[in-house]
Amino acid sequence: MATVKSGKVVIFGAGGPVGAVTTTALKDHYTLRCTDAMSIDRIVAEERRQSDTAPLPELLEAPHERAVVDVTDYQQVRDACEGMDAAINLTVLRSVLDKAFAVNTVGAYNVAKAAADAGLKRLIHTGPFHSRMSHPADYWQDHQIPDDVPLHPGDDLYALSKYLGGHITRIFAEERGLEVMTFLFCGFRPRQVQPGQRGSGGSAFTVSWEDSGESFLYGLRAGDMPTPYEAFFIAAATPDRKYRVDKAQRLLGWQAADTFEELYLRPTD
Amino acid sequence: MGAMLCRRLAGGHEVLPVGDSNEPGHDLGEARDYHSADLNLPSAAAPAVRGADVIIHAQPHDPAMGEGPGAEGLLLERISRGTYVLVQAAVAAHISRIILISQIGLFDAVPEEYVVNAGWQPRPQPEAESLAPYMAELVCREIARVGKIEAVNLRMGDLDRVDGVDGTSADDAVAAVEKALTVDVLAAGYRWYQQHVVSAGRFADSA
Repeated sequence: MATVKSGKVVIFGAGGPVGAVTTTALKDHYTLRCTDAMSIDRIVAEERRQSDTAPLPELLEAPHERAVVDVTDYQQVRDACEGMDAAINLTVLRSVLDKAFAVNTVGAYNVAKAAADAGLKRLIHTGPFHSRMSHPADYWQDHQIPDDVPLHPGDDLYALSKYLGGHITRIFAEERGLEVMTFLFCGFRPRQVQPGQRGSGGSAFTVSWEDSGESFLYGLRAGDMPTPYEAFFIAAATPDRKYRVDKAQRLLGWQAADTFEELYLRPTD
Repeated sequence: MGAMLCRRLAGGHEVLPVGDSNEPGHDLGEARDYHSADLNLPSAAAPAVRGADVIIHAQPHDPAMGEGPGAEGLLLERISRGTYVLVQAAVAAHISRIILISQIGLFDAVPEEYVVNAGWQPRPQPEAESLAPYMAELVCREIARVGKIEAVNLRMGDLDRVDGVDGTSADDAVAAVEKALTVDVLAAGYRWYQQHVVSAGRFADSA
């Protein structure tokens, strides 16, 4: 049984905004080992936000732990997985060639291998679903796109290096008995819709920061999956019908609470 | 594999050998002017491909792994990032085709009773040496898919294992590469073309 309803969870990339909201969502249910390539204390002290609205992580008290872990170093990752029940890999490096393959591809290998070697029950991997790649093989023109659609990253450094990492985790799931979920994200935004934003339209494949964090709680608690590797769109249902988001509801019991309905409604006088 | 192809192709083509070591590790025959380049670096890859009409990328067939901590990660990065940088350099230099030499061993996990062809999904093991050629395939396929380059993927066995196991003879390897230089990749409507090149063993009958 891969369900993880309590116990210890290691988070890689906990210093980023998704790490921040995931920590908040999980802290009362699990003992967390929050890791990042940079000291989380320093991230907080220097208020290193990824954007104006991106949340900063909390500094949790014991028994939670914080550690500096470089996912490109297998031994550091293996040590971080020791004694854990599950792992969440939120690490990403988007646009720097020197590190993109090291973090997004090799890092995925190290996390999956360490999770399998340490006997973890479940790994939640993460990656992007690029809704618009500006090449003829993307899905920008399509509707009701399902979670399991093959990704077509083209030559985009970020998309391609993460795509390789996704395949690596799939292969570990299929061959090493590790249950892997991959949560695919695209856009994030604050929960609140400002009054002037009504009717301004929203980006398809968006989720609030808060809902993104909650999705990991549901991922850890979900029952056994149909296959060892399952991908999920983590996004709000939007009236444009661009993306199907029912798989997460069906298998995880999660759906976004924030649907940003006002963004799609005609402005009132 | 790379050195053998250099030696054998040099008779009919101008071959520009490139490797990541300071000196070639094997006899390159008539293929002279060995160029040492770290393909992880765009600044090194660009001059390495200058003047070429086609690139033959044999490194993923023999992805030698180093020793010590981090060797697996270094191998995976060298092959995945190196292939990405190489293809990007080729696209920038208006080179229209890359021939990737991958491994038939990607199908070792398929039960022997099946007749495997090149359309099957590879099944690498969760180990860096097994994953590395698959990473190179995915990089080439995805960049070819969006029209940036034509990619021919040739999955071969070991050169020195042709006696009843899943090996590829030098003659078969060279013939396949010669064909890959001129094959009409676009005839089927795609820029990704792949073939198994195996001389003996379980995969030979479907190659």
